[in-house]
Amino acid sequence: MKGDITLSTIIENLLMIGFALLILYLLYFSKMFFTTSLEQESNERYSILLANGLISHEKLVYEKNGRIFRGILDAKKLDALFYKTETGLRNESEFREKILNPTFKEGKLSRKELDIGYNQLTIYIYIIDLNDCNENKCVIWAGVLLPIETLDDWVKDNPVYKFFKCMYESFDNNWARPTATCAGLAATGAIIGGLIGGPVGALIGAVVGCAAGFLGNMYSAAEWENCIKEAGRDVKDMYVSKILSFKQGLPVNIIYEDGSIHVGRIIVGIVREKP
Amino acid sequence: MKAQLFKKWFLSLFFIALITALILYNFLPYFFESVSLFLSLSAAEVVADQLATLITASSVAPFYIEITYAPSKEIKYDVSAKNRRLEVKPYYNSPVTRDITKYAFYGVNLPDFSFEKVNIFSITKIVENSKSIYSISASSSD
Repeated sequence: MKGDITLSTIIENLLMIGFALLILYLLYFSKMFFTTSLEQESNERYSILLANGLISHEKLVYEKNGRIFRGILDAKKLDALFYKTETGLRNESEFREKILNPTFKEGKLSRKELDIGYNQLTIYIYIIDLNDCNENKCVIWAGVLLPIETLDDWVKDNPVYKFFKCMYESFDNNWARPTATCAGLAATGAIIGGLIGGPVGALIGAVVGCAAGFLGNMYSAAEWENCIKEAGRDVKDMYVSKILSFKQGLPVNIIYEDGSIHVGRIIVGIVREKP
Repeated sequence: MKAQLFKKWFLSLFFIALITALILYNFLPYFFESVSLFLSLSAAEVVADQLATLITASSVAPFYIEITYAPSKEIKYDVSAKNRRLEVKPYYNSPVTRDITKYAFYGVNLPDFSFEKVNIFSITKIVENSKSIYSISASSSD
């Protein structure tokens, strides 16, 4: 009977649904890409990893008969490597301000002396002796590892490079506008050049006019302004890891020459420019 | 007669749509979960981060450590490191993923290296004469 649900009706409907899904796939899925994005506190992870590495590092830890004692720092080695202060810890923020100051030269560590650390990041290392640490006296060792600037970094930080990079990225491949101005100014330049210097003058006038017209109209005033600003932009925004407090950090022991062992903490802070 | 025909067509379409929806309802979450899990575990950003972390973490061992890391059986990676900056480029061979290079930093004195189309990594640290020496090797699961 006409209108009955037959197998062919079902197959036809299935084909229709399949066709609709195919169109959907072509329209959306073929244009859709899966990408992953990782959100994390990189600085914190870097700090914790580095602090863990430092408490096993041969330049810091106590050694006896060729045996490395992880987590036990040798005060003699720390004295040789770090800036040491014994002033009282009245105000933690005051101390941090001093250490975090870029002009803090006493604590600058050489990468040759301490071969652990991220080359691209500024790293602050504090080791604090918590025994008898009070307002009058507190032993703290501090050091700063500055980023190693490579030739690539120098080039990328150069204002000339930044300007031309910005101009290159700003160009929208619209050749019509500068070409039209080139032609217009070339004609004007040729007439003026021709009046002054004959055919040679006309040629020079045309070339100069075309170049001025082309370059002048290749970018908008806003693009020029943006790239001049970009060239002079200095990166001031910094990410500072949160683990920069004496209440945090990894617990360590500090062994002195007389054999006494004190309780302490190692704090590693990472500072890096915002990309 | 026309109304009856419309009713039958409507019913047939309705039931087919219902069955399709039920199948998709069960299948799609599983499909997307599998895809997202696969992509998150094998993503270049994840591999770069994990590998850089493991390289730095190898410094924790006081004497000797060997770490093997195999992020994916299916995906191969180009991995290179220069000046303690690690770059990873995956080869998905898929139309819905992009082979974007990602980077991460590591913090130990491992010499610069470069590997092509690999997916098994082995990081070693040894201490000789009170000096830590790091090395890395890589191979393909094929």
